[in-house]
Amino acid sequence: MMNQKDTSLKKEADRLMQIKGNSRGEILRTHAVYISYRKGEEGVRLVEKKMEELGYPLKFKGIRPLGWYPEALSVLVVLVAKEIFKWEDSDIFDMGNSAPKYSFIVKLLMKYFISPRRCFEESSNYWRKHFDFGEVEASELSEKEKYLVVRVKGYKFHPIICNFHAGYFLRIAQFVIKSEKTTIQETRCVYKGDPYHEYVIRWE
Amino acid sequence: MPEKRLSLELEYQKTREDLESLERYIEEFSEFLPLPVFIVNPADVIIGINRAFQDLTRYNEMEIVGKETNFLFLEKRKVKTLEEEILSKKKRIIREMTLLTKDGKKIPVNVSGQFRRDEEGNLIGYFFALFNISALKKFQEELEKKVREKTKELVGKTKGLEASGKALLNILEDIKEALSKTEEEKNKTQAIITNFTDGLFLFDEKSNLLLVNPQAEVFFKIGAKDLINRPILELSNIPALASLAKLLGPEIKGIFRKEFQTKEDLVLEVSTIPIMRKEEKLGTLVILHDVTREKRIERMKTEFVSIAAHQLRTPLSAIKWTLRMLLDGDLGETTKEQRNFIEKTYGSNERMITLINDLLNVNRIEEGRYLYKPSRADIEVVTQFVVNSYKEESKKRGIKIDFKKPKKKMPLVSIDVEKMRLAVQNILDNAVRYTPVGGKVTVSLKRAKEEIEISIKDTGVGIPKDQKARVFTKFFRAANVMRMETEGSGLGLFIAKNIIEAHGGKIWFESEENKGSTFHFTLPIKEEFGEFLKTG
Repeated sequence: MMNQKDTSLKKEADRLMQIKGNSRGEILRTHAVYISYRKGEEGVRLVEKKMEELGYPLKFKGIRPLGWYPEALSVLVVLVAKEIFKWEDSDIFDMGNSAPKYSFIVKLLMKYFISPRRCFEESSNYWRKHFDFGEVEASELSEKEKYLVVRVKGYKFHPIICNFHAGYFLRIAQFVIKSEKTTIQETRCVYKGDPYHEYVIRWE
Repeated sequence: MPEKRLSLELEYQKTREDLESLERYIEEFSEFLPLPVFIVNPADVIIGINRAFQDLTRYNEMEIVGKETNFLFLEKRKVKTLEEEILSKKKRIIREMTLLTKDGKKIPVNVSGQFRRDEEGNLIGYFFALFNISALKKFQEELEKKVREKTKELVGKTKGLEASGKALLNILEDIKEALSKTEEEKNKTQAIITNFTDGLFLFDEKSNLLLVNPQAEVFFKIGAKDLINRPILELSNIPALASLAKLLGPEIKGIFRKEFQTKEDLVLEVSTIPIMRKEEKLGTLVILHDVTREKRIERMKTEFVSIAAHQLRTPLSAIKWTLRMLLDGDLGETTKEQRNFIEKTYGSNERMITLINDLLNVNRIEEGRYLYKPSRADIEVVTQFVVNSYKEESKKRGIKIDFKKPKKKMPLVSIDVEKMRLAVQNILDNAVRYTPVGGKVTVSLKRAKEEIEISIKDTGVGIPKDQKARVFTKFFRAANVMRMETEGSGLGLFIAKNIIEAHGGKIWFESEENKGSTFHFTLPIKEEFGEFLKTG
């Protein structure tokens, strides 16, 4: 029997599954790596079990990194992990921040991460390698003032992913910006009534 | 259009599968590769690692990817320098660095780096491989340590050798000096031997002749060259040396100042000295001292003493009898004062006669013609006679004289009775004369196996320790007795010793100053007299 929380999660899962849009299997795989890193293989099994309970069974081992999978699945895995492991927003941020470290696609696309500018220029292309919907717009870059602005458009699944993406984008920036202190801030968010998500990355 | 779309879909799927196969291949290869590898982007940030890297550094991807390379190494600037070098030289470069692992270890590694470029030739990062050289370093350090130790050891040994070398040189110099000194000493010794006025023969431990000095050649009219290395037995076949060889004997016996007449006008005094090194006898030195002149002088002196004594004895005897007649009143009455003077004169004359007799005895002894009346006699009777003759004198001096006779009868001995009396008398006379009033003189006889021992013990003044060795020499008088009595010739014990030794006996004494002396002598119980007696 499902409790109230489970019922709520089930509803959220069902809702998410209604949203169209696919992403590469590599994103799901990086989720599994992070969960395994934090909670071991048992943690991974717990998430798989929960997914099954929610009616969306998933075996991480069978995920093909370059295959297309509903983005809703990826979002649901994050939600389930948060639910099971009582993760905070900071954990979700860390999850996103860690993902590029072991992503096969990131390694393939590493040639773009040679300078802040190149990275900035290639960001929309990079998005398209991962998602078959929405887009990333490289809005502003000031190497002098040490900041850049990227906007994510057409992405509205769940607010938890705002944190995940913030961590993810920050990591990409950290790959190319040599600074002791690099920060990211979501300045606009679709869940706050903005037309898109906007992230400002600053460094010292 | 749907067919074209289907074809594109299939092509895309195939490409995706190829890419995924490639990813698996890379992943498997990365897992398998035993060499720790990490990938760095141009910003010097680590973007990829393999399994071996994780094993070596203990960092997993989560922990290390995204870190700058200097995080990994002790030498913070060195990776950057290496990257610059790789770019400038456009080839793989290897540099030694110190890897800092997660568990705090510092591992020496060789970092091999190569740049990555994209299709357009743009730099997109670097590959780095790590070679753990800790074992090599350890080996190298151990080797260096061993080299250092060996070097130190060698330096020590070299120093030791240098020191030994110096020491050897010093020793050599010392040896040279010693050799030079030895040579000098040898020359000196040679000069001494050559110029020595005594004749010298040196024999080795097997009695082979080693050396003859020129003086010995003169004595025996021989040439040393022909004699060297010949044994003494062979020397006895050479007429000039026969008598000497006989005297020395085949093993060269110990001789001390034995006179030896080689010819009419040459008397030598022969002494042998064993040459010893610790306990080992190296040889014997025979010293031949020419005493011809001394003997001649001695003979002349003896003759003079003999003539003088004989010449003096006759008038002294005449004086004696004249004085005796005066004392006996045969020549008329004398006053008390006259008698007193005559008695003193008679006593002095008696002492003079005794001295003359002693001198004549000594002369005879030295001429070897002293004993001339051998007979078988009872020594107890002889001794009793002498003891009796001192009864009155000892009584006068307040001394007790005691003769302890043996319980058993003593065997007869071959002696010159008159001389033996003189010997006993001389010893007893000293005992009585130098024993203070209240003292005691004990004469005793005892038989040993083959001899009779006579002892004369007194409680007299004794003989000073430092003068004991001279007791039996001619004219010797101990200092303490000279203070007591000015009279005395110092010939009594010399005569006694010669008499006793002529009978084949021995004489000796024990004495302690102020406590007394005991003189012992022995006489052999045999039929014949000794050598001295036979030639007498």
